[in-house]
Amino acid sequence: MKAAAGKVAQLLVVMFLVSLGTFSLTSLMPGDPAVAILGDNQSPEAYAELRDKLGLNEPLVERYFTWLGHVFQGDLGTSMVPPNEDVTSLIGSAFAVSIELAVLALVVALVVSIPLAMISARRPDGLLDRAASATTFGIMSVPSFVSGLVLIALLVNQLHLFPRVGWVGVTDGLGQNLYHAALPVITIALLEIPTFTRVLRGDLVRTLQEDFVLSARAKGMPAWRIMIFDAFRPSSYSLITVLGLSLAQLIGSTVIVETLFSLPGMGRLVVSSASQGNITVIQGAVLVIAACYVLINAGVDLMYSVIDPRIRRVGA
Amino acid sequence: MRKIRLLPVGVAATVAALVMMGCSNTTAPASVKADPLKVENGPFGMTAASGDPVSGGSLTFGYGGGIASFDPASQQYSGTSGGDEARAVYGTLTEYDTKAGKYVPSMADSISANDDFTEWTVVLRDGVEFTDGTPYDADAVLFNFDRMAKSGAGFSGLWASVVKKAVAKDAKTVVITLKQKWADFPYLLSQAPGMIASPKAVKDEGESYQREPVGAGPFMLDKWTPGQNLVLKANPDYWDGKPYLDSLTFQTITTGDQALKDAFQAGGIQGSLIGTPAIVKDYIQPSSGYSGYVRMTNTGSMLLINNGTPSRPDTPGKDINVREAIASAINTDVINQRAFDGNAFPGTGIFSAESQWANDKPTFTYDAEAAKKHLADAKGFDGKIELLYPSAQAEAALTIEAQLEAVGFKVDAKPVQSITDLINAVLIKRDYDLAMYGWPVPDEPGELYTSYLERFGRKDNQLGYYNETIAKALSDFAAADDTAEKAAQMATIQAEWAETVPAVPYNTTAQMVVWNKNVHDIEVSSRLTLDFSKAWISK
Repeated sequence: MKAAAGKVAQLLVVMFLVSLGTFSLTSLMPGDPAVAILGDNQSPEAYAELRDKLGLNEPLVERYFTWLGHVFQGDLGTSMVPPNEDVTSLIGSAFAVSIELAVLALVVALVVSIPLAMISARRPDGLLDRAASATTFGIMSVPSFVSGLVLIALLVNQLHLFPRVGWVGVTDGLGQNLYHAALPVITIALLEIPTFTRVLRGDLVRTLQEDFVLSARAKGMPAWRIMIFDAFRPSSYSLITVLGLSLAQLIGSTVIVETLFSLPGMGRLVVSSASQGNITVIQGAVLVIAACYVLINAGVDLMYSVIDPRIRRVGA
Repeated sequence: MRKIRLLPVGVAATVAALVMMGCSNTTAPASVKADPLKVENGPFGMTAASGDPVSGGSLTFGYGGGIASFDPASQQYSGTSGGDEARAVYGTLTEYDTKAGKYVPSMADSISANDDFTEWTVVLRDGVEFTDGTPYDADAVLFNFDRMAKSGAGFSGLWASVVKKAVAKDAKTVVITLKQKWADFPYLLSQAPGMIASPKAVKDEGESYQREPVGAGPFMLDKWTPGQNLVLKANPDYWDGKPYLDSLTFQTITTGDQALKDAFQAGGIQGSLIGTPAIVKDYIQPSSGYSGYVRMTNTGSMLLINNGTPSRPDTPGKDINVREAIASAINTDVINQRAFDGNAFPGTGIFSAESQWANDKPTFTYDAEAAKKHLADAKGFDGKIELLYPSAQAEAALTIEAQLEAVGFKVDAKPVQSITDLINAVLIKRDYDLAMYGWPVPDEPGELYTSYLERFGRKDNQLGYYNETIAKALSDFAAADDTAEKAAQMATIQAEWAETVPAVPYNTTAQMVVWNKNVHDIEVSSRLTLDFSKAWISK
């Protein structure tokens, strides 16, 4: 209980520092909400007046604490740029897209990489291991904007299998939602598959050399059964760590894929807000992303103790 | 072992490159000189539809931007920034008939002027209502004019400088008195000031009105997810009959013109707005199988020269010799080849070759020796000059930098991160020496006049340049109703421009709206905005 309270306090401190840092950095950002709102055909006086109206001439510290006060009341404010939507609702919509993409991509990556890692680990340096290694290194060397463009060229422009752009929410139909999500999900999954495969394969190879595995083999248990029921669980710590980090990272950093497919996720929200100097949206979005990081990592810590009872005992 | 690990990297990269090369539509590399692109203003690929218009169906247009706010009081819409969406919801009191080359009534029943174009009478149609059932009358029009004038945004500045007063003569007649003679005043009513919102909805909804508009145009808001898409549905009570289309969707695609083209070809959208020269070139070919409209703009890309603003009173460009040296150093053909693969539309006149205002007055010509001489004549100038450019146009900036340095300038080229930063430096702070800036201005007389008036026709502009002859020519252009007289005024401006070198144009830009062949009767008007009220899709 004490440890949990400490963890929560730690998380709050991290989020406070992140929000403070972000707010300070906004003064260095490109973009000007007054220009974004008024366009390029107004007098300098009109821009100055609007900046004043938006409170942009107030001292940074004063603006920060005003904003923080509202956050504690559950109010992330209103977007500075028309159509002046509620920031919480903007982030809610973008977050739903990003979390769906991230989770689906990780599921796809796990579905591919776990069997691949098991096949590779079964005979290290065997033909299949080498082939898998070569393939994953090959995929790893291709950045997402390249793989995305290749997929677009093949699956959209040539075969017309998927839509080029756009997003349909789950509430508008699961089938259409998955149809629009498929290509971005594959593009993101391609980034994760090599890492997951390499990490799990390495841990499996080490685990398969443990005494309890040798003992199981000596008892005549089938190799597939040993792999799945005995070796996989103790080999999955690193994979879980990487999975957690990837999930947190993907929520805010799939901007290239979101841009490529014109998806309204968190990455694109932050980038477009930054180019407009839309400070309230950036602040809210960064806060949510930071919260995701710390919560997911706390969740990963918790998972360790679920997987390995020894950690639970040490914690107690 | 190493061989096996290194090999796939190369193989993957090679395969990816080959697949990309095989699947994508390639454009000529920079070193290959492309054929000059011949583009003319106006429609292309239009074919007469067989049979009568049919009702039904949904049309999806893909745009790089999209509407930011539906409140016309604070907006300056154009085809590239919300003009089509707003026009579909509100209509406009007048519109520009591109075929006839004149402004005609649209939501208004008639518009007429007194003899010297200082008083305009707008008569509204009988029985028109907003979609909330309230009357589209003179009071509603005046309510909107008043809101717009007080907004401090959109067209309020121009309105205040041109309009003396607007009053209701009766329930369906509004009389507008101007501060000056302006034969093209209906232009203003073909823009956001002519988009009339329901006063009741504006008052009831307050701040959220910009997201929940109520107009009397051919379409009504169905669903809007800003940044994603906007769905409009047909207004069954539209004064000119219910639109043939059941719905109209505007899909936001922010990845650029290539993504728009991909989406177009994959069938995700049926129409789009394109500005990239190479893609314009692809679509305009008769064999492309598409229809649409091309608008060549004047002064599309400019090398702005600070002539002496309060922020930089001693800028190098204050000296006419420096400005002449810059104008003589720029070779637009080289910029076109190096930065645009030969697909741009080079030119140093303030009117494009296709413009109705093009004339035989001199423009700038490349002459390195003359540039060096002008530079030598600039007494006390050490050659140092700063060039601001959008980071996305690095190749063009590098070419311009090289051309200036070749004649003796020492250029400090500085990229700016975003267009808003460039606007900040040039338009607001006016703190620059040279800047690469987009200044596209179409031929349409109302827009041409207002654009040039803001940019160099008034004192205290972003160039720090003022010329009595140009100001008078612009004023006379506005007052003239005769095209020949207007053309004469533009020739005067061109001649004075070449003489005094306020800035150096280096490219004309093309803007294109393109749609599938089975889409018919989309009308194009001011600022490349589209009217979908009679659009239909053949089977």
